[in-house]
Amino acid sequence: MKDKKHGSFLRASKLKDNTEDFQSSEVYYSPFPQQDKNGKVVYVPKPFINLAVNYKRGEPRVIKALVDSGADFNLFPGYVGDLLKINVKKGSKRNAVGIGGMQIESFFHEGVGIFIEGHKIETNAYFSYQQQIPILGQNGFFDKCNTVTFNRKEEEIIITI
Amino acid sequence: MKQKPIRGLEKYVNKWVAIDKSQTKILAAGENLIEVSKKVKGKEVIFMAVPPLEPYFP
Repeated sequence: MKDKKHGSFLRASKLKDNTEDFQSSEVYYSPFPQQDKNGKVVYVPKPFINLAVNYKRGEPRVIKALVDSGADFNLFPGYVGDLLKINVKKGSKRNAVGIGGMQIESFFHEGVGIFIEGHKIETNAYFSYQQQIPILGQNGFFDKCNTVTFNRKEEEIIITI
Repeated sequence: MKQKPIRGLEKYVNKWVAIDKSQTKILAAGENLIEVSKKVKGKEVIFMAVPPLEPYFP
């Protein structure tokens, strides 16, 4: 059900005592080009969502990030860190392992803010110059949300915080 | 509301692009995010990395 007062993307659920329980946002998959089995380019919806991200009190910048329930942590490209004026390589260094066992060098930072439809999540992320796609993972995103529901048919992700 | 595809995005695989807030037009493209951000300085945009055309496992 959509709350007309707050617009089509935002609704607030109320407990019996009329206090707000959680707030939720409906965001949508993004269509990206992909080759089909015949090599033809088709557009496929992928769970990339728009979010604004900032560091400490810095200016938020809007990026598309992949909501990836299989990722252990938030992992952003090093260039996103540069854009947010983070001294990326000053973070604590850790190797991250991707599919196929490929290791990438990444740097951990606290003080990252994620804004989705006006809701702020104060979190942390790893940054790596060997990573091209921003990823929202279990620690730092899913664990900060109440629920994250994928509705592939409607190409919709409902996030309650 | 389902999002509509941004036509021509396939030309920018493995690159960064800046799109307008209505998510219909590509305003700038480049090899990395910093290069693209310099091209659209002062404009309200959405930055995105375009994944490869092959099936992608991040």
